[in-house]
Amino acid sequence: MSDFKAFFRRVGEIEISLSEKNPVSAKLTGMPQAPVSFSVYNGGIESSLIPVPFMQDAWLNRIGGITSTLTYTSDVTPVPDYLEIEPEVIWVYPDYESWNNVYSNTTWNIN
Amino acid sequence: MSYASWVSPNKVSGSGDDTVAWTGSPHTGRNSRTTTATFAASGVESKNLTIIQAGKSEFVEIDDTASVSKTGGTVTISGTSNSSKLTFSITGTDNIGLTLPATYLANSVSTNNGAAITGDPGATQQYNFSITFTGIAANTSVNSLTSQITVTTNNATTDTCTITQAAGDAYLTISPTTINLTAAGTAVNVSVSSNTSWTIS
Repeated sequence: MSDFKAFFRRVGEIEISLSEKNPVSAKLTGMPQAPVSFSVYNGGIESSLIPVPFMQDAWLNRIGGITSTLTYTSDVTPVPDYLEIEPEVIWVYPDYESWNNVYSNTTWNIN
Repeated sequence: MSYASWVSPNKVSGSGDDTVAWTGSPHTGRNSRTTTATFAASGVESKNLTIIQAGKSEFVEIDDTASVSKTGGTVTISGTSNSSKLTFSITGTDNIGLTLPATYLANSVSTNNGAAITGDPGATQQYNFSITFTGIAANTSVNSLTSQITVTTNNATTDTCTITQAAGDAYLTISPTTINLTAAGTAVNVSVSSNTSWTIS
């Protein structure tokens, strides 16, 4: 799953995007004050995030450095990455734009 | 392999669902052109987007006007087209008395008037052409002269150029310049040679 997100709860929230695969890793940069709660959400759009059931808040002791790395293993099976485009043929014109849609759950580029 | 430079997306990368807008640069060739853009992501099969741009309708544009000095000489008319052949003709009243040349330059290549252009450059993009009229005589009248040149494409699209030659200088000569009249007053002829109106005083 490409859009796990971690929220380090301290004063407000610090959002950190995670790597896509299990185990989910989060690199916390800064100087958080203990205790810090850590939870992972699984979903595409932030407004519709659904808590992943596997994760209880994990209480961390004070993190001594500026950077620390947390590693957890999710019991949620990641959705395989996919990439589709539609349509597969377009006509282009100088005076106005043509469009094609990309359906994906991961990062992509155009060559 | 990447997509051709004549097409531009509004983004070259993204994450998740998205929409990509594509714009083509102006295409002046008659034939459509095609390129392929590849969408790629790590660990998944790439997807190809075929992008097509329609060709431009056959056209020809020639200088609207051209000028020749009163002393004559040469005049060159230029234009652009994407036709596979061009045919030049003198149309309407030809006051100047032009002689249609047998060849002209199409995409810098000498080409017979009305013949297929070598390599058909207009299939992929517009090309420049020019035609030069030589041996134009001096204008001996005090009025400007005009002639009209028409260029016709393979599908009969036309454009015209009006060539104007500047008015010549006025002249007036008489011969003889001295006459002797008899006592009886018999008439004596004097020849007048002129290209303009004249009076005797």
